[in-house]
Amino acid sequence: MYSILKSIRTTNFLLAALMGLLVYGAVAMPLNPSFRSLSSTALFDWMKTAPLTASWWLYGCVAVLFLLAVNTVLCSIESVLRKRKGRQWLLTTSPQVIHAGFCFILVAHLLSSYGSFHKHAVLYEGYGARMESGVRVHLKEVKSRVESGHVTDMKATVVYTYPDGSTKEATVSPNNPAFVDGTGLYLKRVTTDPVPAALVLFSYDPGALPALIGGVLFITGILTLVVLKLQDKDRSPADTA
Amino acid sequence: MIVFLPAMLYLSSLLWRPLFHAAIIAQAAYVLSRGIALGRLPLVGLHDTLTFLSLATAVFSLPFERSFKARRRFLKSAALLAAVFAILGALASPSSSPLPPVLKTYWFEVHVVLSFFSYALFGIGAILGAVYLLSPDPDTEALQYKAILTGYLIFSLSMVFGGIWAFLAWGTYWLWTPKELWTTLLWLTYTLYLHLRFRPWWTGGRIVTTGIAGYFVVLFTYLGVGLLMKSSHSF
Repeated sequence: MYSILKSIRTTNFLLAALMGLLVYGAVAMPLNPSFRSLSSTALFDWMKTAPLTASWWLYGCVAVLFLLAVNTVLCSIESVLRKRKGRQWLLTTSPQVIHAGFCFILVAHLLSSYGSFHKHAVLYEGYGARMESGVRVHLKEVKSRVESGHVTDMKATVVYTYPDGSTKEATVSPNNPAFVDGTGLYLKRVTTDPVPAALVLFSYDPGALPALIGGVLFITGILTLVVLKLQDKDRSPADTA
Repeated sequence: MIVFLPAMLYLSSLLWRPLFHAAIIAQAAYVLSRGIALGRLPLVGLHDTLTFLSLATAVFSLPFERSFKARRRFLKSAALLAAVFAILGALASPSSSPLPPVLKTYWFEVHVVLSFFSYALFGIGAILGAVYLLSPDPDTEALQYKAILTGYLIFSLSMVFGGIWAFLAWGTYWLWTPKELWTTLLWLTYTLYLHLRFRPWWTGGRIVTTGIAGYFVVLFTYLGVGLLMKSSHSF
């Protein structure tokens, strides 16, 4: 069992299986209306309520990714143990850094699938809403610029009021959210007619930081590998397994 | 008419090689002029992205053509591929409308530029694979591996930047849309290619064919999903 789980042959089978499931999902998603709420709901919450006929491939993906994570860890440990006395430690370690990055990204998706939330709200100028943490946010002002019938710029000024009575002002615009207690406030749309208002998104994603760490590790590992591979003409791929 | 000039030069370079460089210069000048006219990187819509992909394919083919035997066949194939993208780009109408605010960020620009650089390198990998199948040579296979590995690095970077942008724009680094799934499929395809290469059974023609097959996933992810499916990346 251990030798199957650590084998690169298993990696290849699992990758192929995952690809098969994702191809099905990519084709099925646009055809099934129940997937429309998936981007605004944490994955595992969505899977609990979605019909199994729609969500079965996601269960399959979770199972395959779990096996792939185990396979990645075992394969990396095995590789490091086998080559620990070798001289080319960069060539030995860079694939393991890539694998560590991959595992961080999987953990990130796991956290996001469990604990993320995304809720839209319309805030009218002068009025506000209460966040789950007890902080109140109210919309102070909205501004937008329109060119040739297209909105080319917009921003909103919001004021946070904390439970202890202290306040903080922030300006949000597209690609420039404001954060309080890890929850982001994102400006989606503004209008001034009939009354100034903003469509905002409250979003919390606990997987964001691990995903970033995973991405940095992944890029660091693969960049090192590319530099080594481009320099070397004769080395066979088996050297980095 | 000027939009067809690079395509014509790429096609003419099949007969006289120096025209390949002339085509690159003409196309780069066109992309630059579009950028100046728009006041931003011209990377929105089919016209600009196909033109950019054509240019990237041609430019990235240059370092590869210097280093192996079947260079003439390779360069002709690269010219043909660049010409196809240039013609398709010229046929698509350019989009000059102002950018929506969410696209006005360096994260978007870097994400898109790197995506097309990687698509170009995957295309070069496919060409090298085709060259290998016509005249098998281990050096050509090694070059395909290097093109794909470099493309994989750049594609991964593009995904990281795309994730950062998505987090800043939509509150999450991952959106459940067909485009994201196909992008993951593309990444998995080349991940599989890189891992299959460790297996002795997959050496030679089989691995080279996998590298070629990956490019069809690239084309579908870029054109098929963008044109056929509704997503954050629709044209």
